[in-house]
Amino acid sequence: MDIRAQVAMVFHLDKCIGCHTCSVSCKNVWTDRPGAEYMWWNNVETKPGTGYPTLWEDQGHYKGGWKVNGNGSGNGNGKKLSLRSQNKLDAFIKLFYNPNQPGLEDYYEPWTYKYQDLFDAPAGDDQPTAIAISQVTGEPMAIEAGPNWDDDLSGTTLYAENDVNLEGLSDEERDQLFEIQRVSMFYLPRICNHCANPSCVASCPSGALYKRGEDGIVLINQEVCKGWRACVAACPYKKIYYNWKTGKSEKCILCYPKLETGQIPNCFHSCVGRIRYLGVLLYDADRVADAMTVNDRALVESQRSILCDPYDPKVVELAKANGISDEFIDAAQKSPVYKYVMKWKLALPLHIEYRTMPMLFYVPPLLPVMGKLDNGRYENIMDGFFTSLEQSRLPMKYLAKMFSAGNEEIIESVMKKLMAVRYYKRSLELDDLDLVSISRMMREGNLTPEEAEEIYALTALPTTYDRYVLPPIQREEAISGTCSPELCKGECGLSFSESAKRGL
Amino acid sequence: MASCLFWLSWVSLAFPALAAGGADEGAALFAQKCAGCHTIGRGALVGPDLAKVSSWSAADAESAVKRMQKMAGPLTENEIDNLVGLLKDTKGGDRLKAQSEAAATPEVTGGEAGSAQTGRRLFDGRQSFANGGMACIACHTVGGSGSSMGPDLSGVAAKMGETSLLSACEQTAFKVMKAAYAQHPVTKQEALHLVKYFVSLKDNPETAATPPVTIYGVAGATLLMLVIAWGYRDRNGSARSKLHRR
Amino acid sequence: MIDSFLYIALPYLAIVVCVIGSIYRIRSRSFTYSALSSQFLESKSLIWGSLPWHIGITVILLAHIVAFLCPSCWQNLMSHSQVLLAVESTGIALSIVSLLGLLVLLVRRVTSPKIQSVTTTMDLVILFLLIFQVALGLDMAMRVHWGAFWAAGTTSPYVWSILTLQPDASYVAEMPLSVRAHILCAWLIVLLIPFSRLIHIFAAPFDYLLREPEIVVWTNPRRIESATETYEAQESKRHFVTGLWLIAAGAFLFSLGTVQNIFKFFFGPRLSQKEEEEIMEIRLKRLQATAEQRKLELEREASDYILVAPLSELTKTTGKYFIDYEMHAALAFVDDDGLPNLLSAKCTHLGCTVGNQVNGEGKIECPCHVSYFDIHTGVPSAGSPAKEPLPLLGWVLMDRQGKVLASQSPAGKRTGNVSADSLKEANVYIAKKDKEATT
Repeated sequence: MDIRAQVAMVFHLDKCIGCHTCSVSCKNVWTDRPGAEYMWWNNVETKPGTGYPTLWEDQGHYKGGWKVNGNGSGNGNGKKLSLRSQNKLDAFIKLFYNPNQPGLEDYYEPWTYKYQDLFDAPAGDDQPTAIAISQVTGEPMAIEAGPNWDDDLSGTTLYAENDVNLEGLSDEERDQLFEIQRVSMFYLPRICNHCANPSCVASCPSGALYKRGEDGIVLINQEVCKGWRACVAACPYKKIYYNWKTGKSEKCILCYPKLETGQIPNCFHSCVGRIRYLGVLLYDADRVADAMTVNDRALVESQRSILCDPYDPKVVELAKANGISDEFIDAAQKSPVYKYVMKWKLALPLHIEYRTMPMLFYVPPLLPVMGKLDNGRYENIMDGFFTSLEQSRLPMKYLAKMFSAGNEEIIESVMKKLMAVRYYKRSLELDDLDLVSISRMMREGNLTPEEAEEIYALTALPTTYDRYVLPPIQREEAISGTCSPELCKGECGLSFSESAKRGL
Repeated sequence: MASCLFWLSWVSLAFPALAAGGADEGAALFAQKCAGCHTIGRGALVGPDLAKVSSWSAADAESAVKRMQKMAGPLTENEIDNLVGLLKDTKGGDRLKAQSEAAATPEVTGGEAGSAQTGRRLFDGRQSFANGGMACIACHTVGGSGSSMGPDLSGVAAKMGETSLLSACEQTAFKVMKAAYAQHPVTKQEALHLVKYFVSLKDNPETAATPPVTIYGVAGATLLMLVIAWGYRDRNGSARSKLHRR
Repeated sequence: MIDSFLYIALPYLAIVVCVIGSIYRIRSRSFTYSALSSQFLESKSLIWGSLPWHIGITVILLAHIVAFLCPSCWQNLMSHSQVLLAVESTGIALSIVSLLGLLVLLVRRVTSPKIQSVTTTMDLVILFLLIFQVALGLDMAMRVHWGAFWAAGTTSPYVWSILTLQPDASYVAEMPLSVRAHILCAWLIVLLIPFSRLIHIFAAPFDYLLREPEIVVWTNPRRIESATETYEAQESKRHFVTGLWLIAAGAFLFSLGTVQNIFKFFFGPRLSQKEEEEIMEIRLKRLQATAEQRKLELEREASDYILVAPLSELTKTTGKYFIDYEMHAALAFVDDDGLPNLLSAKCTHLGCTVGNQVNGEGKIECPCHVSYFDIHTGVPSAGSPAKEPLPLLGWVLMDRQGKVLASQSPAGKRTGNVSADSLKEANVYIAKKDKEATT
């Protein structure tokens, strides 16, 4: 066993209001510079929808992530993972032209407005306008897409209909999903998953990408990166971006300069819905690759089997032997992420079938489930409880595609637990529910009253320090110091500073 | 030395018939060492026509001959005197002609006589030169087949006498060849073969065309582009273009 | 002169600048070290530019390198006309493909506004240089033919001569214009590598073939203590792999040469007995000539006197050349009083041999830089490039029987007295003791 610590995350989707505050705070600090205008290290998507970049979940198109050699069934013994985007040899031909790399048109062409025209326009009969100009060419342009172009379904069913996760849903289920004005949707904020089995790292021809040993943050060494773009193609979440100006690739750095100075990453700190949790997970690095070779339906369980119980004395001992400090182990024991992922099993990885073992977990949204269509009317479900799962407006199949690699049982157990917590608390506050059925729900949801209180407390009432439990990642202990993000805004690189310029 | 020169020129003036008919050492030497690049009164080859040297002073001619040693190899005092004598002789051209008629087949001490067949093999590289020089076909053409780096050698035997050719093949004191063959000299025997081959071209010229490498090249390029087109036939278009309404 | 600059100075300048500049840029300015792909901005036409260009030029460059590094094996290979034909055709095909690629890249670069926004002047310079270079190569391959063959005997030894620090421009200085332009353009491109995007040639990621899929970096000293060994193991493995590559490459080239020599030893063409004898004879003669010359020199140095000429042969207007004890040219004249006048003929300016014709003012001229020297004093005229006088030499007059009649030291001190009668029969010598006196 090779016990490593990972700074892991949980996003509670029930609480996300889709306000994009996280995206903006990230953009302002990290990607507000030439060549990075189109990058959104943090973005928020509407589901169902096609996301950013367009159709990023379509791996038939982008060929990201891992595939299992062989037929993909069995217990994973003797099976090997290989990159979907390249092998060691054709990687060399792909240096010259990478057929799987998304282009600017798959994201959007960044633009600004000619604000000066508003002041400089000569007096006339018409209101002066500020036309859009491209931030790539500086020429006037027609805006065709943006980073959240399908936000709130964008007034059309085009984007929702093309959601890759709808595959396998019946027409009836789809129609129910897209009914105008009664459409059901939720928001999906995405940052880099800082995977435990990162395909981007494996794909980099120069070896510029690496996972930090202490906290598991995946970074690109800007001085080693040669701009071969293999990582952009290999990351199934499309969370690596090619800076067209500097010729280097960039990605979310989990604000490590902030973490190292005891601060909370930008997108976490600015989250108004308080949906985000940050904490340490311990995992067994030796078994990662093997665990990701099992068949799709077993992947979620397989990932959980790698994560270690921080109270287990044996784990603690091995962690210490591996150089993990007492503070880290302490943080791992208090970790809200551990509670959501392992203790309550409420948080699930996004698209674990890409087999990169993401370390960002989502608590699936319950809200759209809590109603049904009855004679064309939208009704709150007040009785029958779990029967509503089958006729929920957001089909379990759809959520399972996203969060459990198609395994609906896992999604249903999460949903049942979430609903049980809700009804349990309602019965306590309002006393308008039948206690027998509540206790039946609790049983089916595998929930004790104490656990329900705990979940309720961490979901609805957490303070900043409940949500973000981090060890002191002392900066003075790190070998390479970094400059202050505030001072280096608009420049490239982190442990050094260079202006965003191409070549010499 | 001056008296020696004087004597030589006097002898050649006084007894031209003797010089031409008998062992004209100067002319023989010229044919062997110099004729590859120079003529006397028959126009410029690689080097200039040396007819005008007869009006130079003996000392100038001698120093010029000495300078040429770096091309033609070391000469003995006696050989230098002979050559200077020939060059100073106003009838040098005639003596040369007489000499080449007298010695229609070049004499080689020892070894086999030249064979056109072997010459051809040496020319086109099927047989390599003993000292590792490049085959002639690398730069020269015969009958339109070969490289145009150097001149076409199809009619070279008509332009130069056999002795001159032999000398040219051996000395290789030409522009590009000088450096290229400095470390890889052509042996006398090989030169003989080559001369035979060049002479044989007079009677039965070759007309083999250069293989159409350009056409092969264009065909290969087309093939390669087709392979690329085939290999990437289903490359990604824009993902946005895949969006469609049901 | 111009040849030395173009084919010797320029290559060394290019190589030195390329090596130092690239090392500096890669080590100290590594943020600027990138392939600078623009596929992200435009990919539709890029496939027809980048792919053909890179595939074509990679193979062509490899062929060039093999031909340069092992000319003799390359030449043996090319001696087979089928191989030559195949190599030439492939070369033409690949250069057409890479030229097409470059043209597509150029058109794309000048027509797409997005690409223009990332285009630097150097990008265009490089693009045009490369187009020019490939076009020249293609032109040679199509018009001159068999370049793969003659390169082995001309340009390869040239490159070797550059690499082995014995530059020899004569291999290429007389080549046709297009070949010389191709060579010069190549050096120019090498020169520009560290200043342009071409630096990405050195980034070819061969490490990728052998490395593990995951890379973990520990930055925390707590962990590093326990991880040092792992890290060192990884480092040493990496160095080992790099070293292995280099050794393998070296061994490959070495074995090519060795195998070829072994092959030649057993199966290669031989010199006939006669030819070998001839060559050995010529060598022997040269050695003998050198030995004889040296012997003569020693003999001269050993003898007390060296004969200059009979006094009667000396004139006032035309000097007689002879060789003095130092093996330098010297001149002998006769004076009005019928006695000899000897002086060195080695110009004190740059050492040319001074002419022997005395002009109206009693001076002799050095032909190299027009210095005039007085034949009696050896003093140069005012304004001559030479500033020092030509040294005067002493002489000894002897009769036929070897009896010393008179002598004069270099300083001008005269001994003995001679009558006009005895002068007729006298010979002029230079004496060893005079030489010793001056040195």
